[in-house]
Amino acid sequence: MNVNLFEMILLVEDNPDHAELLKRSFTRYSPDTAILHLWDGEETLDYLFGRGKYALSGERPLPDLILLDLKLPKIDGLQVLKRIKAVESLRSIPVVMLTSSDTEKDVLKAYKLNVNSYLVKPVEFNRFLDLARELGLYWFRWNKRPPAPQSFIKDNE
Amino acid sequence: MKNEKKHIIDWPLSPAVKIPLVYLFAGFLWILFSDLLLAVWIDDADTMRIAQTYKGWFFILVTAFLLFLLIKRSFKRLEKTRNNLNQTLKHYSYLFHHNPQPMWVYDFESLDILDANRAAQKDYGYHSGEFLTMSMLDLIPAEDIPSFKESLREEGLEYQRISGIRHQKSDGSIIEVEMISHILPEYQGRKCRMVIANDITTRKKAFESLKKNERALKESERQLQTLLSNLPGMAYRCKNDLFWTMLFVSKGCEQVVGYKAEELENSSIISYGKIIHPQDRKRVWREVQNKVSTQRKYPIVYRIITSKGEVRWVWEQAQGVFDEEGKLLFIEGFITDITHQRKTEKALKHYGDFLRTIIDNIPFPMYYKDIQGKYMGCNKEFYRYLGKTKEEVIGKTVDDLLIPSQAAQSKAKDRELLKTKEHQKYETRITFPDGKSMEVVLHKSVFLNEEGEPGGIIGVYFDISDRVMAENIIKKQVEELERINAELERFTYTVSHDLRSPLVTIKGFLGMLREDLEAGNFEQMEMDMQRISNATDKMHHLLEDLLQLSRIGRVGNPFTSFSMNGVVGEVLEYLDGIIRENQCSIEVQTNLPVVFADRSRIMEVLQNLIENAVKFKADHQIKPHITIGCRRELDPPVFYVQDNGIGIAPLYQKKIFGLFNKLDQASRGTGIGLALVQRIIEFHGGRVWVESEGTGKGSRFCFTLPGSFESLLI
Repeated sequence: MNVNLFEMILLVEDNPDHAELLKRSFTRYSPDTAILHLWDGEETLDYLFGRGKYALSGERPLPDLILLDLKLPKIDGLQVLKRIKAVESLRSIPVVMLTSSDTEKDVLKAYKLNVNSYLVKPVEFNRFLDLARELGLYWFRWNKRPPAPQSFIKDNE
Repeated sequence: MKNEKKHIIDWPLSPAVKIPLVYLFAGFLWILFSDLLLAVWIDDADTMRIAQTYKGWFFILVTAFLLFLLIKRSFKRLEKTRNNLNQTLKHYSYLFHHNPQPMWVYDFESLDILDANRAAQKDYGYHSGEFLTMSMLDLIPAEDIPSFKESLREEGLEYQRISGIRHQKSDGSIIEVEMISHILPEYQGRKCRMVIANDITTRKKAFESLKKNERALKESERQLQTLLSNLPGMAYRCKNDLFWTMLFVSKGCEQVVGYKAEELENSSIISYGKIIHPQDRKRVWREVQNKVSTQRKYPIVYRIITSKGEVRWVWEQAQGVFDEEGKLLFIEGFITDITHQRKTEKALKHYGDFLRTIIDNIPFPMYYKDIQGKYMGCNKEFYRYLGKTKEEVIGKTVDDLLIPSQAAQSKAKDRELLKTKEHQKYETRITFPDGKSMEVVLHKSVFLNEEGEPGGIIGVYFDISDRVMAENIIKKQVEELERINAELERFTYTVSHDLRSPLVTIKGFLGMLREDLEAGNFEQMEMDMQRISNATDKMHHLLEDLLQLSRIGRVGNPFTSFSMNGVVGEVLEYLDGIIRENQCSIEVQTNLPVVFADRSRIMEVLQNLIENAVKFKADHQIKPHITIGCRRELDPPVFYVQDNGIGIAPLYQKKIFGLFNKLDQASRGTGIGLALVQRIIEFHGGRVWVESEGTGKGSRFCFTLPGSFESLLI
C-alpha cells in the first residue's frame, strides 16, 4: 500500500549508512515522499530559521515531519528539538526522535521538550522496514495533520 | 545668830524700865528730903500748905525736864539702833539674793516657796515672781515626789545635808544637786526651811568618767593578761645573749615549748637557747644579729625541741628595744607554733604538684588565661604543641602566638564566652606565624575567682588534623567516585548508542544485500557490502578504543619524575612521518618543568594533541605550525599545544572531549582521542580544556598536572 499523502520529511542523521537505510526503506513504501537529509543540528537550525548558508536561499518548504537523531555533531538532537518547540511557527510540525539510544533518561528528556514521538532504530532489518512503513502509515494516513503551514516564514526566533 | 536675834528683840525694853525707875528714884528722894527740909524750916500749917503746893509744882517741873532729857536720849539711841539694823538687813538681803549658790526658803507645811535668790532663778530658769508662786513639788521630778515626801518626815532636823537629789529645771532638764537646808523658826510668821542647792551634775559626771577610766584601765590590763595567756604562742622579753636569757615569758610558753614560764625566766631551769634545735642555733643567732640592728620588726622561722623532745617548727616576730643612745637593751617578740601550718603547706604543695603532674600528663594541650587574655599557665602538651618555651607563652596573649586574623577570631570568641559564661566549643584552624597550621576543636570554659566573678578562661585543644585530613581524603574519594560514576554512565550511554549504530548498519545492509541478491543488483551489492565492512571495522575500532580507555586508572605504570622536554622529543620522533607529510613546523619551549606522573600516559596525551594539531588544518594552503610550551607564571603551570588549524567554536569546546564525539562526521577516527586525553589528565588530578577564538582561528589545548616542578636545569 503506497502512501503519498505528504510532501516532505526532514531527516536529520549524521550516520550516512543509517540515512541511506532510512531513505531506501521509506521510498519503498512511499515513493513520492520527498526526503531532505541534513547531517547535523546546526545545519538543521540554519535551514529551519533561514540562517547561515540558507540565509539567501529564498523560499524553502517547511517539512511535514521531522525525523531527528539524538546524537549529532555540533548541536545535538535535544537542543534542536528545544529550539523548534520554542518557536510558534514551527511548534506544530511533528518531531519524531529516531535514534539508536534507548536510555530512559533520553526518552524522558525528549518528552519533556514536547517531542511528538520517540522511536528506537531496530537492529533487525525486517523490523526496520516495518518501522519505516508504519511510520509513514501512521503520520500520513491515520494522523490528522495540522493545516499545512505557509511556505517558510523567516523567523528570528 | 541666835544671840543676835535675842538682843534685837530685848533691846526696846531697857529704856522703858530705866526711865520709870529713874523717875521713881528721883521722886522718892525729892519727897523724902523736901518734906524733911520744910519741916525744919516751916512750922505753921498755912505756910506749910503753901510751901507744899510750890514744892509740888517745882517737883513736876524738874521731873518733866528730867523725863524730857531721858526720853530724848532714848530716842536718839533708838534711832541709831534702827539705822544699824536697817544696814544689817540690807547686807543680809544682799548676801541672800546675790549669793552664787541657788537658795530659797519654803514653807515647811504647805511646801510653798516663799523666797528665792537670783542664782536659783537663773539656774532653774525661772524669774523671781514665778518662783514665788511655785511649790517645792514643782522642782522635784514627778517620779521622785514619793521619796521626797518620805524625806519630809525628817524635816524636823534643824540642819540637813542630802546628796544626790534630782531637781527639774523649767526647761524640763534634770540636774543632780546636793541640798543643804535648815529650819528658819519664824519667817513671815511661818515655819520654814531655807535651802541651799548645789548643782553636782558636772562634778558627778567628772567623777563617773574618772571611775570609768579606772575601770577601763583595769579591764584592758585584764584583757592583755587574758590575751597573753590565751595566745597560741608566747610573748617574751629576752637578753641578746647566746642563751637568749628570758626576762619575761607569757603563760603561752607552756604550750609552745612545754616548759612553764617560771622555768624559762632567767634561765632558771633551762635557757631558751637550749630549746632551739641544735641545727638551727647558729642560723638563728646570725639572723637575729643581722636583723635586730635594723631596729625594725623581723620574722624568723626555726625549729625547737620541746620538753617532751618533740621537734616543732616555730615562727617568731621580734624587735629590739633600744635606749635613747641606741644601745640594745633587750629583744621583745612573739613565738608561735607553725608545725601544723608547715604540714598543711607541705600537703598543699604536694597536692598542687600532683594536680600539675596530672594536667601536664593530659595528652591534650591545655591552658588557662586571665580576663585580659594573658596566658597564666598551660600544660606540657601545650608547649610541645606550639613548639614554644614557657617564657614564650606565659604572660603573652594570642596576638603573640597566632597570625592576626586568627588572634582576632580567638579574642572575639573569648569576649563572647565571658559574656555568656557558658561552655564554648568550636572547630577552627590555627595557624602559627611560622606558617604551621592545624585543625582543632577548641573547648573553652570560664572559671570563677573567690568572689564568684569570672577569673579567666580555661581552654583545651583537640587536634583533629588527622580527622580533617581523613575527611578530605574521603571527600576526594567521594568526588572521584562521583566522577567515575558519571563517566560510567556516559560510557554505558555511549556504548548503548555508539555500538548500536554499526549494528543497525550491519543488520540493515545485510537485509538490503539479501534483497539485492534476489533482484540481482550486483552493483548495489558491492556498495552495501562495503558499508557492512566499514561498519564492522568501525565497531572493531570502537571496541579497541573502549578497551584502551578502560585501562586508564586500572592498568598503569608507577609515577616517575621526568622532564617534559624528553617526552615531547620522543613523541615528535614517533610522529615524524605524519609531521613530514603535512610539512609541519614545530616549536618546543626549552626548560619545560619536570613532572611526576605516568610517563607513557603523558606520552599518549601529547601524541593525541600533536596529532590533532597536525590533522585539523585550516586550509590546505597553510602549513601547520605547532607550538608546545608551558605557562609557568600560572599556578599550577599550564602546558599547551597550540596550532594554527581549524579552531573550535566556543559552543563546541566542551563537547569535543565527550567520548566518540566528532564535530565532523567525515573526519577519521572514532572520536576517542580527546576523551582519552581528558581521562588521563583527570586521572593525574589535572584539568584539560581548549582555548580557541572560533572556526579558522587555531586552537590551544591546555592541561595542568599537579605534580609538576620547576625544571631541574634551572
